[in-house]
Amino acid sequence: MRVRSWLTGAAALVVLGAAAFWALTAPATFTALRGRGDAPRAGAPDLDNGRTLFNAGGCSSCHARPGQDDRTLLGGGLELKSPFGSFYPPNISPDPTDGIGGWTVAQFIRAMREGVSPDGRHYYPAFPYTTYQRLTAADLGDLFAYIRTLPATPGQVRAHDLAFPFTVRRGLGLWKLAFLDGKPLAPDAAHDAEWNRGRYLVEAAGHCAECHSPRNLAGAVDASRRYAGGPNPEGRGTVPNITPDESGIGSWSRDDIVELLKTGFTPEFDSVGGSMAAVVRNTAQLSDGDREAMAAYLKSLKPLPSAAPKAN
Amino acid sequence: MLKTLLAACVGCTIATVAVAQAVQPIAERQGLMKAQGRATRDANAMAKGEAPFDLAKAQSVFDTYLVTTSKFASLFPADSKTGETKAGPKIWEDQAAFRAAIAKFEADAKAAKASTTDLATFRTAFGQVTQNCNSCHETFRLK
Ligand code: HEC
Ligand code: HEC
Ligand code: HEC
Repeated sequence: MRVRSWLTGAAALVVLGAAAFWALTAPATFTALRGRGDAPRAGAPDLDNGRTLFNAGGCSSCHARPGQDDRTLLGGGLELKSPFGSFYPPNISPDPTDGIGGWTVAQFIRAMREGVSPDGRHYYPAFPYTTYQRLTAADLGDLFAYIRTLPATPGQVRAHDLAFPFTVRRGLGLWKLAFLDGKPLAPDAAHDAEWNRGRYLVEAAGHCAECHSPRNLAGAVDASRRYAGGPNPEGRGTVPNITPDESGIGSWSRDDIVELLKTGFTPEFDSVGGSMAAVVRNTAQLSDGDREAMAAYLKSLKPLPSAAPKAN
Repeated sequence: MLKTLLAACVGCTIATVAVAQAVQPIAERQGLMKAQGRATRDANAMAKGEAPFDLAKAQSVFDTYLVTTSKFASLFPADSKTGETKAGPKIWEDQAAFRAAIAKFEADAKAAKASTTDLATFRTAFGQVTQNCNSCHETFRLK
């Protein structure tokens, strides 16, 4: 069964009958079919590693409280515009009532990898768990421990502002069976350790593909044109192609990519803006080695022609 | 008939003038930004030790930024919102914030120039003033 969109999902409801839909979309069904069983690190968590994943994963870009400069105040509330409506990322600070201070590490891992909340509801993929599903349990345990060292920020955010049928979370169960494969990133022996590290940072944490790829009708990343750029989901303009094609960043050296991830400057010494400015504030916090690894991985991508016309 | 043609033609000259007006400031503001890009590239090479440090050259980078800040605000007339430009709508929606971003860039460039006496002070000053590039582009420029 191939499910293409939430709308087709609604049609499938009629065809399959409500009972089958209910079974297929239950968060427990997803866990049973796709969940995997690795565990977080035994003993003390590695907070430095947690901080690295926090920066590589760009949690601040969406969860930091808007209108202030402290990246570690995770009170949420930023408006994320999408074709389905506006999302407001919640408070993930360690506040025990408004944030995730009362969560267990297992609940956190399930949220990050399966997109399921502690009370068993599906999360919208505006939360990029389609990327974070590839993080190892050890890294997620460290990330959770790091977040718990940050300041507790009270206050809840407003509800998402979505159009029907996207308001129905249950329908996401079908979307997830179609677009969330639950597979870890197995190291690729054909490449060296640096490339594998770069791939992990880009594919499991950095969610670079979530912005730098066109999406299909169901709002999922178009796999055949991953990293080929696309329209800006937030409105006017485009997101550039970052494959090593001439319509992408084929003319950039590895050092050029490292420089961009550190300072935000392109080879023409233009400074990247828009939503990429926040990404650079995250990657600027990583080690030189990690930025080198990400550049090595990006240079190895398959060159693809731009999926969106380059804005002048 | 003739009247209509004439009226149409007056209309077309006005339209041409309007377009010409919009193209001018766009080209000028982009030219200022390109010059900044070149100056920033040279400065970055010095800061990273890839080019020899030269105090006069280092300070002239900040002068280039100050040329921009002295002219930039006047180069965004209402008819230059569209066309070959990546200027974002927020420039016109929140003019006070845009002017404040220019003023901050100017203050930081002045402070950077004053504090640069050697390579070490240059590195710090350059790092600080170039934060303005990302933050202004984040809000006021489209891709
Ligand atoms: C692109 C924006 C974005 C990024 C980046 C992002 N999130 Fe989120 N996150 C969201 C949205 C939107 C939701 C709400 C989803 C929903 O309501 O279905 C969410 C929900 C969550 C939740 C569930 C909170 C709750 O109260 O149920 C957790 C936990 C979370 N995110 C952790 C993280 C962590 C950790 C990172 C960094 C590794 C991160 N997020 C990065 C957008 C984002
Ligand atoms: C939230 C959306 C978003 C995410 C996530 C994102 N980018 Fe970007 N990226 C953009 C946008 C928008 C631009 C264009 C910015 C501009 O030029 O002002 C951009 C520009 C770039 C460029 C410059 C391309 C060019 O031709 O100028 C590179 C390289 C890049 N991103 C790499 C990455 C990498 C690597 C990651 C993952 C760590 C990433 N991006 C994550 C939105 C994003
Ligand atoms: C006060 C806001 C502001 C600041 C500060 C700023 N810029 Fe810009 N920049 C813009 C705007 C707006 C544009 C788009 C102009 C257009 O397309 O009409 C732009 C465009 C550019 C371009 C592209 C020019 C072209 O058309 O090819 C470059 C390069 C650039 N900026 C470099 C820089 C550098 C380097 C810095 C820091 C030293 C910087 N900018 C600081 C607002 C700013």
